[in-house]
Amino acid sequence: MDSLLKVEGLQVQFQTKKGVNTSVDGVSFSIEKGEILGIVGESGCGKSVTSLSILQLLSTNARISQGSIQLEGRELLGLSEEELCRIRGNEIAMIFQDPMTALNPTLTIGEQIIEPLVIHQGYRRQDAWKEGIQVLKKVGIAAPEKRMKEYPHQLSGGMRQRVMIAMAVSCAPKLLIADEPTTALDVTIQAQILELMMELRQKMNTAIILITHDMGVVAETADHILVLYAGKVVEYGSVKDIFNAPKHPYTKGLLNSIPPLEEDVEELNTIEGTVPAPGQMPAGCRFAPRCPEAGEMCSKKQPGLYPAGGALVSCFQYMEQKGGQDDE
Amino acid sequence: MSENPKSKNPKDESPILLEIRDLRKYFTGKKGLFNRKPPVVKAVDDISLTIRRGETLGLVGESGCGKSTLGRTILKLIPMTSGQVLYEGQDIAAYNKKQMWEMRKKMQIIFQDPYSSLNPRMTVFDLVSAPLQVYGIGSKEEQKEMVISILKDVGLDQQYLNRFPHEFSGGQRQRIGIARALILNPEFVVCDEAVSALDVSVRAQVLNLMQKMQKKRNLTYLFISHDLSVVRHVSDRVAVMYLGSVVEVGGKKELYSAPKHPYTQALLSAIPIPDANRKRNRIILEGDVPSAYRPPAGCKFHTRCPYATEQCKTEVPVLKGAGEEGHFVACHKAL
Repeated sequence: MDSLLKVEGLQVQFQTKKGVNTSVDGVSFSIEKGEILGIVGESGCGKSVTSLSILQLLSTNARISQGSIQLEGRELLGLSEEELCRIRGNEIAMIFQDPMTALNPTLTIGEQIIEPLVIHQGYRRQDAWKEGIQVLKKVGIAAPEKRMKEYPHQLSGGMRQRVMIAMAVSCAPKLLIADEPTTALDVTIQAQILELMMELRQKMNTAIILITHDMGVVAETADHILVLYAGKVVEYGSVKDIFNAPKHPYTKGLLNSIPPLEEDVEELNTIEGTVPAPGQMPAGCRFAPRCPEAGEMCSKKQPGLYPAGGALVSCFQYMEQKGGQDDE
Repeated sequence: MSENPKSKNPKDESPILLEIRDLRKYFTGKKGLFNRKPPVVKAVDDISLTIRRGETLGLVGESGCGKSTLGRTILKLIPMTSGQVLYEGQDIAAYNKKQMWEMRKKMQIIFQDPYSSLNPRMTVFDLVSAPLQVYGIGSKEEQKEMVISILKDVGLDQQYLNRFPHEFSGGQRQRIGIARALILNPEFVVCDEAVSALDVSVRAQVLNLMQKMQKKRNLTYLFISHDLSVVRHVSDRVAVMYLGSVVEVGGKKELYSAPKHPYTQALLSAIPIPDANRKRNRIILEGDVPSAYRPPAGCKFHTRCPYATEQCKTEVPVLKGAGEEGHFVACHKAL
């Protein structure tokens, strides 16, 4: 059986004044029905670009130069704009980080919620309006009839994010892409929204790609994790595998630099240095200049993805174990 | 800072540097056509706190709870509505401009956004030496030496002296912000979400730097943040704010392991923990933070509190001692 979504060898290039930057390079993953995949990494690692590529919403100076993206066995790359429009919001929906800028301030909540229903599902306006009220109820908004007639500025941040989720799930998509859905929210509101997403997954069997920089959020919600660094996959595996036994030095460093909530530490572990700038990527492993475990080979050759204890790790330390495939 | 649970934190004994008494900061809106009385936001509503020399007081709360306003009001960057701020026993609320000008050498602030808090047209040298120039300290040569030495302290090489902010990463910019705040050798520093804009790995570097500087210079921090795990890491004591009031304050160990206020409990339980093996019982609060224009009567938290009673709707709770010494909670039903 085909996976719900299968991304293989995705490469995205940006045309800039200084030349071509490859911001996502060779990213592969798959997601099954009802699964939650967390994509984590620091700013600039390519997590948002990866998610935007799936719906081909990239800016005009970006180009998907290699790879394939298949939804239930159907290739999405190369589809016409018209065909893509039928998928966007219908089969694959997206939630963005900032619910204030993602909602249209000049339209009422109702107008925005019924739009996908009218366009994709062929509802008549009145029926769509009734359905909209039902969807708002489903995402836990009190007095939905009243809210339908209000404008985004009249709602709080948490409510706006609920409206975004309502819009996204109104057509019962197979896949929901949530790009930092709770980053702009306070922790108590974040807890509400995560709870809501888990609930919807249960009820509607929607698969979710959750993009976040917060390791705590993925640990508590996701089934699988894809860790990105400077546009490359560094580690891919189940939540249990990665949190219990992180293998890549970057994943280890990332987890160790989070202050623990229940014990005291004298000094936090850090990862020395900074993320390489786009256009100045190191020749070998992109993490090598900051890696405490880097060997000689690391700065010369790019590692492939090697299986290690259930996970896939992009580090030469795990190359010996058989079955590894080389990248180039 | 190694402590075992029984031993007292040595910082508990150090003298009080700053005492805030009944501090209020009200913002008044515009009178409208229909509302004769202008709306008032009580951003800081009757707050009293003490900070000892050399300690870090963490200040947490959700957006709009008034934590940044409190930090800025203490420094008199915005005028207070009423109350006292005693710095080594002297009420700086009553200070005039000239006295305050002298005072500011001792009190500095590190801002959240390393992108907007540095003037893009100034070089690193201009930025970091600006406080020296304002106070006319040292000759040009001496200033240069002082800047180089503080840059070295914060981990920046002197080759960066003539570079502009846009040439630096977020973490490096925050180091410049720290150098600028510390060059006058202040005693008290307000860190207003100083690491919130940084990535996890860089955040750890900057936090370590801030702690190193604190030890080296015996700095006193008011560390404002919405990130509870960061606050726990850096603070000795923590104060929790909700809608302009402090609802709980105490030693970090006790506050995090045995929170007494229902809001603190919910806040702590809502933090996602990077551990795949634990599923916690999460207290999910209903609803949103009420509008600051119309805060609820009585206990401001009663609209979202699972334990609220009739008393909570009418009577404002005051901070009372609870549990260990130095732990205070403002709740009628403190558990």
